[in-house]
Amino acid sequence: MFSLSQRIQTLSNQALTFACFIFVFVIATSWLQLIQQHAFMTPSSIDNIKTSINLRTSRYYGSMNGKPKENSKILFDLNTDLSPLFNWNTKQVFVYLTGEYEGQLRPQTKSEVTYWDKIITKGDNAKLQLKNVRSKYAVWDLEEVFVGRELTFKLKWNIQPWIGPLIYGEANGNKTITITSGKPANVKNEKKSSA
Amino acid sequence: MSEILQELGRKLVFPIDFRSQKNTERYQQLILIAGAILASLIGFFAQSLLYLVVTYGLAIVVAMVVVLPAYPAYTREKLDWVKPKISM
Repeated sequence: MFSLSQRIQTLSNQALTFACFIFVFVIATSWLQLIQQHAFMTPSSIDNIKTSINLRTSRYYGSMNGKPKENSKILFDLNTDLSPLFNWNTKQVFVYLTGEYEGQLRPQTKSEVTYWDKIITKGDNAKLQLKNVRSKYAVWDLEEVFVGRELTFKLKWNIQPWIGPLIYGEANGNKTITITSGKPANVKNEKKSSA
Repeated sequence: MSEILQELGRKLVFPIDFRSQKNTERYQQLILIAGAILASLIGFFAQSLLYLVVTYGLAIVVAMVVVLPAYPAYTREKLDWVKPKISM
């Protein structure tokens, strides 16, 4: 502490050291808050799933050598309240609806595809009550046939905190649905009836 | 150029006396610990990281004001050097 530069160094060093303790405190308390608010047992209900298959011949939709590829889309209802995921260390939450399925030619392979996702930045918007929502992404498989697969739909989430590691989890409430070869025209009818 | 820098460096030492060196270190530690605890509590009960960062920043500023400058009170005790015995 003799000279000015020494004082600057010891002060900034000590300030940073205590800042590390503050970081640990924030990470630990926000984790405890998640557990206390039962964030890892958040219920969700995915209902009224309607599947449709669209044959695409574009390479950007998985078609190879001009062979049409089955692209799967869905319509679904979603009801869940994700506000337990929000505390003082939550920057934003990424919610995504995935379908898990096994390979038909090779049943030991498991695939997980994302149909829909959403970024929630405020706890006030964390209550999701969606009706007859169209999936964001068209999904196709490496194997030729997608019709008849059993997909287990799950709502997963990912908390992006201000400080600390990403936290992954999934909401309770799965739904298993068999993909049927509904025509895309079906989808349009649904949209009309909902509008 | 380097001579000017050396000159400048010699002028920027701002030394303080031994007792103040000990005291400033203790003040610094107290202010920062109290600031860190206070910031954590305020942030937690307000559920706001912004309040936490602002409170801790204020604590650091206070510590800087208390510790960094060589106030006259910190330089009061001059060292008594032994007087040379040999007369020239």
